[in-house]
Amino acid sequence: MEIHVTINGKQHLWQEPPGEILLNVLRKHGFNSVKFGCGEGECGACSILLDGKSVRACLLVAGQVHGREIVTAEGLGTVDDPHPIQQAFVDSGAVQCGFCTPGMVLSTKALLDKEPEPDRARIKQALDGNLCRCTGYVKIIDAVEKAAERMKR
Amino acid sequence: MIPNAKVCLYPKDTQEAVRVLSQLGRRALLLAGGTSSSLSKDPSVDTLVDITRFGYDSIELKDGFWHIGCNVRMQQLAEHQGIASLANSMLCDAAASVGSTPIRNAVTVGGNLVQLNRWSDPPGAFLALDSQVVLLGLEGKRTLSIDEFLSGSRNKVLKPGQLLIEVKVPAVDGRIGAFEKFARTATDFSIVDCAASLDLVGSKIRSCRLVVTGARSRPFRVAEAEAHLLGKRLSMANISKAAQLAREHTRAIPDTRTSVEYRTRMVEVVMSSVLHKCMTLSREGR
Repeated sequence: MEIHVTINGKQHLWQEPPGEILLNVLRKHGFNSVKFGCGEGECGACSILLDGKSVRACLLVAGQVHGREIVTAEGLGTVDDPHPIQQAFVDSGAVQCGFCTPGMVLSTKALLDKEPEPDRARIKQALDGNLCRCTGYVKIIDAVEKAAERMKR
Repeated sequence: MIPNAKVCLYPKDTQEAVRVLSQLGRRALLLAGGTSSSLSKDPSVDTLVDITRFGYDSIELKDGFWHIGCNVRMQQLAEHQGIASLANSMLCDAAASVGSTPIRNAVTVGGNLVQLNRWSDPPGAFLALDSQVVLLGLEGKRTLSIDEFLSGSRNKVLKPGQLLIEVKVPAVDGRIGAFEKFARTATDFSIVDCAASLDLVGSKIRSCRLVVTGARSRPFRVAEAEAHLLGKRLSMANISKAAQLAREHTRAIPDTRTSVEYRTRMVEVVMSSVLHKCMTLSREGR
């Protein structure tokens, strides 16, 4: 089936079975920042923004995104020109193995787009769907605070 | 992944959706949030029907009811100011206890009610708030009480081709309410939830609805505990007795998370906790 979808601001036309899991389709088309973690909606490694809201790509099928807009970490910044959220994660030491980071960064974006000045409790709530098995979260929350601070300016 | 799906349809209105679902029968799989349906492996499905494009995604107050569309997402319900004003925000608390933020951004009110897993949190709160559900089929609309919707046999209550399009929650002022989820972690499936809504006259209870969720496959009211509280005050002794009755009249089921014994015991603990919350709220003048 033909699926028209906007990813990171660019229009894409996929020929894919509508019942295929979105995560697999995104990775097949080169969006490798979207990670396969648990495949059952627990870990958040496959988080994407769908029409601005963070959702799990492992619990959606391709047919559901026809006509919709997706943002992945590839759409935020590049190595040479990182998004302020990505830079804040680097500067805070919020990245260890890095597997959860794209999802964390996107959940942060969804939060800061809606609430530019969240407190730590609100940050924890907004990241409740993203598991990190390395850092223990403190530096991740620091990073979100730092990003909020920098984006305000 | 739905292995044999060839096409996905996007009905523009509810009539079209109902027509398509009726025509295709078991060949069609309905998609709303997709958190359950996306995992279906049903080989007989060749058509997906995405129902999120026909509206019914807002919450409106009219004719004395809050009308909650089937496509309202859990996060939207959890954050809604108007719904927060109902029975001490009990329904928002129930919506907020569903999974994690990305799950709540996907799961819809309708899907959650129709799927009706043991651990689905909001249906119990809808039951405590004396809600109604609106079903739409080829033969037209039908409104039924949430009690009937939750207790009837699934296939009889919601016939193939029928859609649950709306939940109506009475916009009654002054009810006291509380909802509590008990689970291993904040984002895990519940072990037991309890929900209570009370209507007080002075300090006496004129009517109440006490609901246990998660202990059995569906939420249910504990009539014996409700009867015990009628006409009485919310005292420590009355709360203990009502919670004890809730435990005694719950035939809990086990699963991989917990045993029958533990789950049964927790019914009393969590019911006692929500009723204490109600008592505190009533003393604070809400």
